[in-house]
Amino acid sequence: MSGAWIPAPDIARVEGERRRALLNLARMTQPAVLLEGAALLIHDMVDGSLTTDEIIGELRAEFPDVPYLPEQVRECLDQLAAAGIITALRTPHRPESPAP
Amino acid sequence: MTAERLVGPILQINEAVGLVTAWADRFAQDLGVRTLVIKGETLERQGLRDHHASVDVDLWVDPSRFDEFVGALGSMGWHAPIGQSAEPDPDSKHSATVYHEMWPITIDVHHRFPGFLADPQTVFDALWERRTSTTIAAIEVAAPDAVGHTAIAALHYLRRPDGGLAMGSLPGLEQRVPHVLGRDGLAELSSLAGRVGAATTLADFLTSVGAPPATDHVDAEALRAWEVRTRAPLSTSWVVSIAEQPFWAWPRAVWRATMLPDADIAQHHVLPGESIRQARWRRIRRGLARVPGALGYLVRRRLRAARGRRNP
Repeated sequence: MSGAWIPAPDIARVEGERRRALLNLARMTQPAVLLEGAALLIHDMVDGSLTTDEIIGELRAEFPDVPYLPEQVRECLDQLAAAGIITALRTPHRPESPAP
Repeated sequence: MTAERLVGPILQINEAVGLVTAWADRFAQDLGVRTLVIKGETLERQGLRDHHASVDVDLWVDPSRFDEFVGALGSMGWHAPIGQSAEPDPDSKHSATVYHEMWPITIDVHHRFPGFLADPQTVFDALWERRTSTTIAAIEVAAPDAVGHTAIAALHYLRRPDGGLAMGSLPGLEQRVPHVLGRDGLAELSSLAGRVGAATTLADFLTSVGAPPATDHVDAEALRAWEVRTRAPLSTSWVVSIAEQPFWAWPRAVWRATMLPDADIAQHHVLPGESIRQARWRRIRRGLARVPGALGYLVRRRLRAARGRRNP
C-alpha cells in the first residue's frame, strides 16, 4: 500500500484516558474496536496525509529501539482497514505549501 | 501494536453508552423509524442536569413502529432479559428493556412516557416536531429540544417523588429551567404540557419554575392512575398492584417489591452518601410504616368501586 490512510466516515468514537473506543456504523453487526497504546498513536497519525511508510518513519524516529516496528505498524493498519475504521487513499492529502 | 476487537465486558460503561446510542440512532434511521435519544448526556449539554454517569441508553420510538423496531433489535441480538424488573410497577409497560451479550449495558425502548397522558402518538409527534440534534460519540443523533426534554426530565423525577433520584435531581432541574429556557421557553413549556396531556401532572413543576399555567383535557382514569403512583406513597401503588394479582402470587410479589435487586436500588433509591444496603433498609422501613395507610387507601378504593357498580 503506497497511498495514504484516512479515517473512514460513519465511525462512532468515544475518547477515554489513553484509549479510544470505535464502532463502525457502516457495519452494524461488527463489534467495537478499542485502541490503546501504540494502536492509538498509529490511529492518531491516520489523517489522510501519511502513507504506511511515512507512519513507520515517524514512529521509528520517536521509538528507535522498538523491535519489528514496521511489521507491527503494518499489521495494525491492516487490522484497522479490515474493520473499516480507516480507508486507503490513492493520493495523500498534502497541505499546500505557501506561495513563495 | 494491534487494535483489539472487543466484546462488551471489556468496554467501560461510558464507552458502551456512547457507542450504543450512536448505533441505535443509526439503526432506527436505516429502518426509517423516527427515534429520539432521551435523557443521558443530552440533558447535561442542554444545561438541565449536572454530570451524571448514564448506565443505559433511552430511546423514544414512534409508537406506531414500536413493535417493529423492538423486533428488528431482536434480530440484531438485542433481547429482553429474563425476569426483567423485580418491582411490581403497574406502569412498567411504557418501555421494553433489551440487552445484548456483547454489550455491558441495556437499551430502554419507550413507546410512551409516564405522565404524558395524551394519546402516545400525539405526544411523540409533538416532541418530534420540536426535536433537535446533538452529537453523541461523534455522531449526530436526534433528541428532544430543551423544552421537550425539560418535560421528560421533570416527569421522570416526579414518577418517584420520594425516591433518591427525585430528591437529588428535581430541585436542581427547577433551579436550572428558568435560566435555560427563558421567558419564551417557559411559555412554550406550558403550551407543550397542554398539548401532550401533562398540564396537570406538571402543574406544580410549572409553578415552581415560573411557567404560565397550562390546561389540558385528559382521561380521568389515566390521571387518577398517575396520582396513585406519584402523590400517594409508593407503598400504595405496590399494594394496589399486588392486590390486583391472584392471591397465590402475593408472596412472590411482596418479596419482589421488598427486596429489589441492587441495580434497581442503586438507580432509583440511593441518596447521596448512602450505600445500597442502607438505602434498601431505609426503603423497607419507610414502606412498612406506610402499609397501614396503603391498606386504608385500598379499602376506600374498593368501597368507591362497589358504590359505582351499585349506582352506575
